[in-house]
Amino acid sequence: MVIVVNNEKCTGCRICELICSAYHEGIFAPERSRVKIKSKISSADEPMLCRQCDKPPCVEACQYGALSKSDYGAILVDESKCVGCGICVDICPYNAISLDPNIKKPLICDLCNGDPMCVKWCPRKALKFNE
Amino acid sequence: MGRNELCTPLRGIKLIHGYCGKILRIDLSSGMIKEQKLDEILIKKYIGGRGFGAKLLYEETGKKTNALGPENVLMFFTGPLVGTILPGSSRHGVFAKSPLTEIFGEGTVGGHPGAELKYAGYDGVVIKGRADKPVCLWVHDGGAELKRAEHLWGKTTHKTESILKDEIDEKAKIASIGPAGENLVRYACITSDFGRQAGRTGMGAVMGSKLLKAIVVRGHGGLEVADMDALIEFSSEISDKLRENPITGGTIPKLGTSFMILVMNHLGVLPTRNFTDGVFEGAEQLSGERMQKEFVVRDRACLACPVGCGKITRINSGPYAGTIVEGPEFETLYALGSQCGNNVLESVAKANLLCDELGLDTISTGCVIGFAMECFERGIITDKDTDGIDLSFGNAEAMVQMVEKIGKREGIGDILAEGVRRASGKIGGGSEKFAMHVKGLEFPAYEPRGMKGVGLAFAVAGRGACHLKAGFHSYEISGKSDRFSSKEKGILLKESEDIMSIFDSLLMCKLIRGPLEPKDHAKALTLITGVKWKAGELMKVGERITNLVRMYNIREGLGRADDVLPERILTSELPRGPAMGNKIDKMELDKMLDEYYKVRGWDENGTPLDSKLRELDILNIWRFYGDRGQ
Repeated sequence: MVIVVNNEKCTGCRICELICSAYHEGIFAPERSRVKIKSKISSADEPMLCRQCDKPPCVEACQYGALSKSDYGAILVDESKCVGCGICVDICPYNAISLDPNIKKPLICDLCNGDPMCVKWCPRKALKFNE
Repeated sequence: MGRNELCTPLRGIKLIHGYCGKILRIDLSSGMIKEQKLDEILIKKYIGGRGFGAKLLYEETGKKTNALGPENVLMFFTGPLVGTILPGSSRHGVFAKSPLTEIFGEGTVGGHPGAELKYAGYDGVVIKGRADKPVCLWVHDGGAELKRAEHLWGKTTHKTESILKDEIDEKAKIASIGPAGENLVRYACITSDFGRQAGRTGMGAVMGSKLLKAIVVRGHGGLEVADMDALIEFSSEISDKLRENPITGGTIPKLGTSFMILVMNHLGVLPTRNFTDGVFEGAEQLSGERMQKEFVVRDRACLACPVGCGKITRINSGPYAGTIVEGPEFETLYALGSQCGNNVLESVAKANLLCDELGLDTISTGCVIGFAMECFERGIITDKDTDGIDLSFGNAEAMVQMVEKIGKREGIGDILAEGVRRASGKIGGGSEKFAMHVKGLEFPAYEPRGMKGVGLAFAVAGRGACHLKAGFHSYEISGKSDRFSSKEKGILLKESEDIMSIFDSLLMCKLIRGPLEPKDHAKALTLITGVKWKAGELMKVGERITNLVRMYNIREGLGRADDVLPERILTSELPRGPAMGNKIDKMELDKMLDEYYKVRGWDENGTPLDSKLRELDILNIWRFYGDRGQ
């Protein structure tokens, strides 16, 4: 299971950020979304979210064993093991990881239990889900 | 539930969600920054946005307030829907006494700063006074401070945004003025997100008069709503409605607002060469269809909007190669295009970019340039006045040069920067007769002689000649109202104005209004705030706000005599096209006004009757603040 991004179609509406934070956190808070849109001007905006790497650099880099790859492909975060060092944020080649602004633990796409909300809600189909 | 929220629900008698519950109060003269709590009555009577703006402007400014003086109050307000996933709910409004019209000033804009302000914990910002030296306001989670901005003064809005993103936060959302606002051009705008403007009535000049260069916002918080599941489901339904509608789901995502060029030209109501014609022979070259084919490189949307009407264009060849701009929108294609007899779309894109960077309202700017062109053609001004520029209709390069002159107040630009009403007064030679404005606000892209209800709407709109206070053109294009008749406009105009007041208070985008009804907004408001709203109650708030704005203008000295149209509309007939032979003569306008005033519950001078004010529960404001001359 992988989310595929087509940058060219992204309009920067950030509906993905809103539905992600609503689904996971119960409020509209783009800073708590697992997908973030990088704003550009003349070229298309860029969705930054986990691509479910085959060999995830974030899992490998974590010294505390807080990250693991689930059997359906998504990266799982064990908050109890995480110390908030931020190495996963730095190492991700897709800039897909950010730290929750309040508790400072990683926000990583978990594929919404197999039915990604962002894919469903993207009005321009810039996000696709390959199962 | 959320953890450690910054934007907590307002705790009143009942829990009201959707609001942060506080606004920032800034006094630039003393540097003081305070937080003020929103009260429940303000929310229930005025909702937000324009409602708050009207109430506070009424109470805190008056007849003697100098619009460019420290005592003017510059306000930025969001609404309860802003920051949610409801489509189109991403706007903010700017309100102040207008230096262009000297009456109620307002501009709304989409994009991202409104929501960011909510995520930072504030529903709005109210700014008084005047800084000693240029400053910018930095608003962040639970706090704000003034930062020095001398190094930004003189820079374009785009450059200002870039620098501030580098200096403060790369994800900050920024609203700024350019040289035009600094130079107090009376129709200077406030630019945000590189391509969006709170355009009309000179809010940028008010900001410039306060030496406030930019507002920088960054919020890491979130917005709770009363019923998240139901709101998400409702938002999905609204998205479906928008997608299924051929305009919001087809034409607008594909072409943006520019599709209107050929629509209006086809009806014979595309203002051309300073309203001397309603058909422009160059319309095809300015059309949205051509723009899409040759110049658009990507689409851009405001927060939470599935439509994505923004078009980024890039000019690759010719004298304006290298221009990259969000737009031109339909209004700009009229103002810098047909209004100037100019069919060179590339030049409109270039001039649009200049307006964005200098911080100029494209509508007023283009209307003024078209006016100046007519003066030139008639010999009222000559190339001695224009520093050698051949300001004939159709001269694209001259139009582009005029934009710079206006933004910098150079040469004749200094007179034109005053707006078409004052400029025609200074230029004289009978030019007042073809200065196309109402109450000092320049005409947007609609020829009233072929859309008589639009004529009435322009004559009575609260901020001057404005197409968005009623959006009446929609009815006369669709045929819901007969565009060549001046009968039976009053009821529909009142209804549409009150609906638009609701839009301006919730801060919803009007471009998607087609498939929506007041009951949809009432439902959205109910699901978000947790307070039960019905469509009728919402309409009453809309009516209250429209009346309050009217009262503000009356206190400034306006009356029936100002609910007029320019002489050209009243006395000259359109010369050709599908609307040929039409005008709106004084008698017709009087009849429309009489009908409208009656429907509104106003007297023959257009002053709301006491009975109407009592019904709307604002009679006390009138009596208490009626004679306030500050």
